[in-house]
Amino acid sequence: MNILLEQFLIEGRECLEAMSARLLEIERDPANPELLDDLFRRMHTLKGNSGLFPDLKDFIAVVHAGEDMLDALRAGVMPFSAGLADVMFEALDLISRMLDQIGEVETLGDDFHAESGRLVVALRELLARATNPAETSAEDLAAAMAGPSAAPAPDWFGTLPSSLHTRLAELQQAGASAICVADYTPEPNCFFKGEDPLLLVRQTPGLVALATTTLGPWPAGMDFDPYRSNLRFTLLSNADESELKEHFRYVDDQVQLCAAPQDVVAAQPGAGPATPAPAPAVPLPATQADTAGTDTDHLLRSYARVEGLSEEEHAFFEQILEVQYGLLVAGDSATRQGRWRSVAAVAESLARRIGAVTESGAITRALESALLNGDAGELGEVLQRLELGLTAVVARGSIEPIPVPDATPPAMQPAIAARRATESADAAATALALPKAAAPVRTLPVDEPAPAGAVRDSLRDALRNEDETPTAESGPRILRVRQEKIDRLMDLVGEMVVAKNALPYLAARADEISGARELARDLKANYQVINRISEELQDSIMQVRMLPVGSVFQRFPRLVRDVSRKLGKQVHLEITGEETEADKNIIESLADPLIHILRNSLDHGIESPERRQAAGKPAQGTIRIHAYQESDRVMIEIHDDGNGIDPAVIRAKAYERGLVDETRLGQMSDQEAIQLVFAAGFSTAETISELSGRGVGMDVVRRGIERVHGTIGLESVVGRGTTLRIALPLSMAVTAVMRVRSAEQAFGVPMDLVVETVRVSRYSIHTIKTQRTAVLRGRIVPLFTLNELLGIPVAQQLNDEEELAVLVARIGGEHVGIVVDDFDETLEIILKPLEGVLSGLAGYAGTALLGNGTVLMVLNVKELI
Amino acid sequence: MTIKLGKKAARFTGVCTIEEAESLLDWVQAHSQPRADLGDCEHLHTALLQILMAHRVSVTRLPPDPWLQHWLRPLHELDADSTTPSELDA
Repeated sequence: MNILLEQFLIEGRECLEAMSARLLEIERDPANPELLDDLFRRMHTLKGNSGLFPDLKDFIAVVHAGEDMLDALRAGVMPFSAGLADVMFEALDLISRMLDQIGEVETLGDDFHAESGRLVVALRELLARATNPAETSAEDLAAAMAGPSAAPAPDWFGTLPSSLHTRLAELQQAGASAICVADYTPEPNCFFKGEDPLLLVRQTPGLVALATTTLGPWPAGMDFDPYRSNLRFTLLSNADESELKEHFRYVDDQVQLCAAPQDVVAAQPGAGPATPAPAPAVPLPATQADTAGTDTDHLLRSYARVEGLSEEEHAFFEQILEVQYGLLVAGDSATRQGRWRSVAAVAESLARRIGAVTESGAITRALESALLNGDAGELGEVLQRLELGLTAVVARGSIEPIPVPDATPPAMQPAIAARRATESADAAATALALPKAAAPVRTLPVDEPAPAGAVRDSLRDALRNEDETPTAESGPRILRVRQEKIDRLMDLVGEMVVAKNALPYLAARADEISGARELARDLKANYQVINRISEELQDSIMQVRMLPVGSVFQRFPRLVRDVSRKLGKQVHLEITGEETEADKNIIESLADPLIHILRNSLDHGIESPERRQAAGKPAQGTIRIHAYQESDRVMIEIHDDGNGIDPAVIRAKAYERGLVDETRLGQMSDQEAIQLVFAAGFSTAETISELSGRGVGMDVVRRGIERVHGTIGLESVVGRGTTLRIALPLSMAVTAVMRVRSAEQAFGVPMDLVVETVRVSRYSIHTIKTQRTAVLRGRIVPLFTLNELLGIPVAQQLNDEEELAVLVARIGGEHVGIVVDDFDETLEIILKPLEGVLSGLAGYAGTALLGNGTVLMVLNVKELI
Repeated sequence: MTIKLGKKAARFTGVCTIEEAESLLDWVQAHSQPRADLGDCEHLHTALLQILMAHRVSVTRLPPDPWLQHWLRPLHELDADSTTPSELDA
C-alpha cells in the first residue's frame, strides 16, 4: 500500500478514536471549550489529510460537513445537544467504515454514496437551522461557490513573475486557449493545519508552469522557524477553473484564480523578457507611471529590512557587481552556462544581503531564460536593478557612497561598457520594471522577524499537542513498527530458543560418547549464559508486543452510551486498570467477548430506572470493568449492579433446551447452575432483541476466551448483580508442554491441562462396561490409552513394576487419565499451528521444533477424547 | 526515518514528512556546508523544502519528480557549480 495512504489510515483511526472520546466527554461537560476545540482540530486534521486523496469524495464530503458543524459549535453559533451528538456519532461510524474499506481495497467505492449524502445533508441542515433560520437556499450556496469567473484579469495578475507571463504567451501562441492562472500564498501557519502546499501544488490538475517565490527573507540561525510557510506559488494550468477551484477548495482563502486573459499574447512579444509591458487588460499598480524618484522610494520600502551596510561592504559589493557584468559577456558557449549560473548565485546572495528579497524569483527566472535562450539579457537587468538597489540602500542608510576602486581588468572594460550602454539605452523599461519587482512586497503583509525563541517554542508545543507525538527532545519517542516485523523477531527468538536447547544434548553427547567431561561442563556453563540472554531477549520482545488492555476498553464508553440510550436505561461505566498490559494478540481477541458481555449486562443485567428505583437502588446502574495483573495472568472483572442471574430460571431453561438431564440438575449448586449460561445454545432472552439474545452470546464469549488459553467464571447474586471474571495468559508465545512417550514416539501435552502424573499398577485398573477406570485420590477416573486414541495398534508398555504411566488431565472440569508409555521432562516451546493439509487434524494442537531438531507433535487432548 | 542524516549529507528517501523538520533543521544548522541527496525522494513536505532553501543546502541528486525538480534545481545548481563564491553565503 502507498505509504501516504497507510499513514492516512493510521492517523485517521487515531483521530476517530480521539473524536469519539471527546464527544462523550463533551456530552458530560458541554461548556468546556477545550474539548470542543480539540474535537474540531481532530476533524480538521482528518479533513486536511483526506484532501491528499481526491478520489475519496464521499469521505471528504462527510468530514468537511462535520468540520463545518464543529466550527459553528465551537464559535457558539449553535448549542450542543444530544441529537447533534447522535448525528456526529453516526458520522464517525460512517467515517470508520469508510476507513475500513479504504484499508481493504485502497479506495472508496460507491457503497457509501447514499449514506454519506444523507449525513452531509443532515449535518448541513443542523448547521443551517442554527446559523440562519431563514435557511440558505442551495442556489445561493452554489452561486457563492462559483464566484466571479468571467471577470477581467484581477490586479494580482500583474504581479505574476515574468517567467509565467512569458510561458503563458508561449502557450497561447501554441494554441492553448483555456489557461488558468493561480496565485497560491499559503498562510504562514498552514503547516499546523496539516497542509502541505508543495503536495497540493504538485497535484494541481493540468499544471503546466510554475514559479515559486519567497515572501520574505529567511530568518537566520535560531530565528528560523521551520513551521512557518514563507512561499508563494504561482502557476498555470490547462484545467478548468472549476476543477482548480475544487482542487484548492480547502485553501480557497489563500488562492486567487482566474482565466488567463487572451490579449496577453498580443502585448507580450514586443517587450523584453524581463520587462513585459503590461497588457491593457491588466491594470498595473498606479506607481507604474511614476517617475524614477518615486521608484527609489519603492525600493527603499521593499528593501526596508536591511540594516545599514558598511562603507567597505558597499564598495565590495559594487566591485562584485562589476565583475559579474564582465562574466556575463565573457567566455565561449562551452563555459558560458556555468558562468551564468555563478552570476545568478552571486546575485542571489547579494540580493539577500541588501534585502532585495523580491529579486530572488527574478534571478531564478532570469537564469532559466538565459540558459534557455542563450541570452543573458535578463541577468544583466537583474544586476542593474541590484546596483540601483544598492545605491538606494546606501542613500537611506546615510552612508556616503565612496568611489568604486576600478578593479576590473582593463581588458574587460569595453565589454562592460557595451553591455551597460545597451542596458541603459532602455532606461525607461528598466524604470518600469522596478516597481514591478517591488509591488509584491508592498501588497503582502510585512511579517515581523520571528520574536526569538518564545513564539517558535509555543508553536512547537501546539504542533506537539496536535498530533500527540512526542518529539526528540522530550518524553519517550514512539516508533511505529509493522506487526509483521515484530512477529518475525519473535519467530527468530523462537528459533534461537530451539537452537539453544540443542546445547544440553551436545553436552550430554560430549560426556557420554566422547568422554570429554570437562568439555561437557564448559558447554553447560556456556548454555547457561546463552539461556539467560535468550530469555531476556524473549522477554523484551514480548514487552514490545504488550498493549495496555485500555486499547480495547476505549470503545466501551461509546457502546454503553448508545445501547443505554436505545434501551432507555441509565448506566454509568467505570473503568479501572486500563494500563494493565498483555500480548497484542490476546488483547485483540478480548474485544469481541467483552462487547458481548457488556451488551448482556446492559440488556439483561441493568434494569430500567423505574424498576431499579422500585428495588431501592439508584436509578443509574453501574458497570465496572477492572483489569489487573495476577502473577502471570491478566484478570479482567466485569461487574454490574443489576438484576443478577436467577439460578432457577437457568435450570429451567437448560433443562428445556436439553442441555442437562434431571439428575445432573439436582446435583448442581446454584453457582454451578449459572455457569450453564456458557453452554452452547443457551439463551435466556424471551425475545430476540437487537442487542443480545441470539443464543450465541455467552457460548461465543467462552470459546473466544478459551481460544487464547484463558478461563472465564461467573458469580451472581439475584437482585445484586453479576460479576464475570476473565483470566488470560500474559502472552501466548511460549507454551509449556510435558513430553510423553508412546509407541516410541514423543508427544507434547500442554501443561495447563496436566493435573498430575501417576503410576498405576495394572491390577488396580478396572473395567466398567467397556471403559477402563482407576480410582485416584478417591475419585473414579476414566482411562484412555494414547495408542488407541491415535489409532496405533500397539499396547502401552508397562514398567518393571508392572505399572502404567497415567497422565491425569483436566478437561472441561472433569479429570481423565491418559495412559502413555513414559513421561519425559516439561519443555517450553513455541507452538506453531498445523498448516496446509495437516490443519484438518483436530487431534493436534500444533507442532514445535526441539533442540535436537526433531518435531514434537503437541496433542489437543480435548479433541482426542 | 525517511531522512538519513549522515556526516556530510542528508539522504531523503520515499515520502518525507514534516515530523522530520526539526531534526533536519538541527542537522543543517550544525553543518557549515550541508548537502542533501534527494535521488530516492518521492515527496518532501513544504517545511523541509523551506529548510533546504533557507540554508542553501546543496542538492547533489535531484528527485525523479519533475515538479520537485523545479523547486530543488536552484539548490542542485549550487552543487553543480563549484565556482560559486561561498564566502558570500554568510
